[in-house]
Amino acid sequence: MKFLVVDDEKDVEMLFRQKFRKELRQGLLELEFAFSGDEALNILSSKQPPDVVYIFSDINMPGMTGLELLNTVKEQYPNIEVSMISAYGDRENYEKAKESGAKEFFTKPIDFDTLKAEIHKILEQK
Amino acid sequence: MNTHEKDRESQGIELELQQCKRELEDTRQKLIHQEKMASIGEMTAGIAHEIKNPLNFVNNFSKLSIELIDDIMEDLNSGEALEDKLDDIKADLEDLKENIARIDEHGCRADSIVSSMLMHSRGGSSEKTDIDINQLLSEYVDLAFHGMKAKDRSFFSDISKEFDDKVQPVNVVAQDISRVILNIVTNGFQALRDHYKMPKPGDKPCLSVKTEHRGDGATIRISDNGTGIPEEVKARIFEPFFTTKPSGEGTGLGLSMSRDIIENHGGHLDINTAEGKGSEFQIFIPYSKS
Ligand SMILES: Nc1ncnc2c1ncn2[C@@H]1O[C@H](COP(=O)(O)OP(=O)(O)OP(=O)(O)O)[C@@H](O)[C@H]1O
Ligand SMILES: [Mg+2]
Ligand SMILES: [Mg+2]
Repeated sequence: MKFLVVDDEKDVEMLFRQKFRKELRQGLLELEFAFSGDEALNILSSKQPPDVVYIFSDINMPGMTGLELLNTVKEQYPNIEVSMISAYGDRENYEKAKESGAKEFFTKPIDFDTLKAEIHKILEQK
Repeated sequence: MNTHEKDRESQGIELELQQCKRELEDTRQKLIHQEKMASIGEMTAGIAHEIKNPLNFVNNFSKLSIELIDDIMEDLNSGEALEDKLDDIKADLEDLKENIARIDEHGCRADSIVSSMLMHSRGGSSEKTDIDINQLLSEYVDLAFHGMKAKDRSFFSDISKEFDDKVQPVNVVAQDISRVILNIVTNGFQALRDHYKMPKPGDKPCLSVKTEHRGDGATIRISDNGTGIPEEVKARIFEPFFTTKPSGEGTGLGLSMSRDIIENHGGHLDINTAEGKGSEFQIFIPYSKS
């Protein structure tokens, strides 16, 4: 099961790979990374239908923001779940994300216990 | 109407006019005050959020490092032959080293963001004190840069700093001078952002600040290679409430306020600009005669 993480901060990849090293080793999940909204959309369109089932996206990124990405994904790939991860956990961002169909809203610093719980919930459902 | 009545009427109008002017000045002062509060408040709020990005790494790479050490301990205590575990242990140690380097890097990043905010908490006083203008300028350029970044992730600019160490301390209200620098530098960054919306081959956005010892005072030069200012706009930039920016971004008080502040300190604020090339603002602050 493939998860796509979108964040302009490159170290996020190293962080996720280590945090989920056990799950990755056991082949429970696959992780892919994009460093911008555009890159994320390219990854999605490279396979028909996309093999990504779930996206975690940052909000404040150069170019396309995470909220714009959320809207586009929900329009073009309504089956893919999207959750936001942002340093900006204010009401406005939260409400915008929820209105656009975001599943969850995580704030930075990321609490990996809740994030892991979310991922394990998805893994068990499928 | 006889002349007597006419006089009384014009007196009435005169009074009303004065009343109006007073109210206008009152409103202007209130607006100026609000503008100061808004821009600094907004900027610090934005920057405070930006600290969460490096903190995210500091917190999580530390937790990971503890997990890695636990893994290594487990391997060491497993009772199995150490030779079989050695590769795993080595790999974990490599990761550990990498993580600690990340913690250090992002810690420094958080530190630089925090130090750029510090001047604010130190401020608050409207007393004149002796200020190292080089340090003040340096800190406020960083603060304005982080403020721009916080609003717009894609914003980028080179920053060049050239400080003359012969510059002597100036006796000023630090809070006021910081506002002047913050506004002029932010104007510069905004001009850079607008000018480089479309990439310009062979040219990149740069904001430079420079100080010079001038005998009887210090000169600060703040320049950008951004949009520059057309003649007809240049004629009006020091007018209060004159702005070319969308509402919400500019109130147009920045430069009129800046000029007032500098002149109140016995100095002057001048500008050189060429449309399409960039602008340079020069602030002269006299040393106090003692
Ligand atoms: N470095 C610059 N490059 C290009 N234009 C500038 C520059 N600095 C100022 N200007 C012009 O001068 C106008 C007035 O500047 P001023 O700082 O007084 O107000 P503002 O920046 O528009 O609003 P505020 O400072 O209240 O946010 C700006 O709207 C802009 O058109
Ligand atoms: Mg980001
Ligand atoms: Mg301004």
